[in-house]
Amino acid sequence: GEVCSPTLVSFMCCKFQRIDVSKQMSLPMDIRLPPEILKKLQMQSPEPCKPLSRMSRRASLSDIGFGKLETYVKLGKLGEGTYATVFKGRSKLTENLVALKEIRLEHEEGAPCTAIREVSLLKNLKHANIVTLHDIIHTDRCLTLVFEYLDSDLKQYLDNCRNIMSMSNVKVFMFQLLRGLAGELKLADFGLARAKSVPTKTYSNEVVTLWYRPPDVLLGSTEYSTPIDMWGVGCILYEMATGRPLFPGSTVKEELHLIFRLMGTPTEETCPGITANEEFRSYLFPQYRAQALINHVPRLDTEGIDLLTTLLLYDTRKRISAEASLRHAYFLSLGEDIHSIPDTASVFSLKDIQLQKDPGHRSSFDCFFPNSGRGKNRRQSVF
Amino acid sequence: EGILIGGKRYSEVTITLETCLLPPERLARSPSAVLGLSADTEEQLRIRGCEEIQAAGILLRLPQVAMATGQVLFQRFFYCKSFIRHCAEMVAMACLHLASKIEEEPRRVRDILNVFHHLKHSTEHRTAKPMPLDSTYISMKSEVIRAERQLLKELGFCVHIKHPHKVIVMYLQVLECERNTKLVQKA
Repeated sequence: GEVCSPTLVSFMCCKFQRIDVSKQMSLPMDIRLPPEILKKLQMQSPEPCKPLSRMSRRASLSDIGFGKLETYVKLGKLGEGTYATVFKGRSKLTENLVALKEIRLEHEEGAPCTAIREVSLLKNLKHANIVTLHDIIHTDRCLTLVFEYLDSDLKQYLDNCRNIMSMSNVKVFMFQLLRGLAGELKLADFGLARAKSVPTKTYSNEVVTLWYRPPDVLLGSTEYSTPIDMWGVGCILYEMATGRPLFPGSTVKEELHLIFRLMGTPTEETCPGITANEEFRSYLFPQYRAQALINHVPRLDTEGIDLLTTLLLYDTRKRISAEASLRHAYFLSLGEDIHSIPDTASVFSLKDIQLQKDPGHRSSFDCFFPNSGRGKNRRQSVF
Repeated sequence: EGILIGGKRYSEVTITLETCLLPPERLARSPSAVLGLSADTEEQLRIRGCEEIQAAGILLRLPQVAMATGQVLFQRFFYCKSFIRHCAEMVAMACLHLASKIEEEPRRVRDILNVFHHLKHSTEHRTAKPMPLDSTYISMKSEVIRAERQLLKELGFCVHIKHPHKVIVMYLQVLECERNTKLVQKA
């Protein structure tokens, strides 16, 4: 239970750059500064001050062992994502288990966008539904993120219960996912990647999986907005409820085809502006009619089907937001208190929220989720 | 709780950027000033770097927010490191490259190198050719990537910046000055 490991970020593994004094003179001398700025600059005569504490602080963190690869012992591979490999490890500092996410740095375009986002945002977030980032090791070839270790991710979880999850657990997991997304996170930040799905490269050379991408993105929209994630959330709800991925396409065309066959080929009515989309027109898809989702997800109740439907809307303006979906009727049965727990507390801090034994589970639930008790500091993550 | 190292107990060290205001003593004595660079040369280098980022950003058709981010990164970096030991132009390129990724409008290092090359060598009468793909190009490219890594390290990955521009526009709206286009434009 208790998590007392330090949330810490340090960067000490870069070598110092060689001094190149010749570059000092790279300024053209014809730049003219406004007189008031010049005057100001002259008034700010340099005063003697104590040396910066930052260097010494950084040095002491380094002395402790943060930011160093030697501090962590690799224990075994946990999985391979679309842009990173994750290992189970142990921190020599705390003896705690950690997850080491190794991001290969391709020398083509420097640090990947997703890695920058992941570090820059996760670093400042303390939330019960978000994995804590403990340390960063930045070297020439590789960026290693050290995360708190979680017992199981959604994929393992689904495998362990033979793809038959208790519907009440589906609801709790969905709520946790949406809680994370209602903050600053994007679905991509959860490292969503299935080994089976075929990764593809975007124009910015990033590797992404197709299965959770909405049609607007598949049809060339490069605008990142939150409705993109909500489509992916719909796909995950379906996957948890049925045990199968919703749209397991291996090419963009196949992905779109799978979507349209189930949700209906978009029309000007369901997806304003679609008839003007050149890419859409060039595919010449047949005119499919939307099928009733209830026939495909029979285990999901009426409210659940309604939520799924509003998550999978073509029109991004009508697609439900993370904040609004937390208030959806589907979650009414979780009670009112769940909306007032602090960000840093797990939903399991509420007495009424408990996971049920999954019908498909091989043995008792506890051996896969030994720490899923109601410890207040326990951070839960679905991925 | 925590860990005991050298007689001191460490339980939590968090490096965040709650406030992006520098203390006056650090503003007055930047790393460049410590190494003896004159204040007005430093000011000129800062202005020049920001202008380069702006001009290159326009040519790369980046949204204005990317240039603003790049400029903030540039200014912040040179409160961690000096102009004497770090090439201002290289850092400017790395800032723009990183900013384009942060603002989700990524541009390739090649395009950034070409645009900076163009800005440097084009005159009124002729436009410079793209950089030849020779060894100079390859070493410059890897230097930009190295500078980017150093930027991330120095800034502690605190690179998502909240810009004041929107807030200024909001204040102007509250003050009912939004029709004062000169002021809004300045924001």
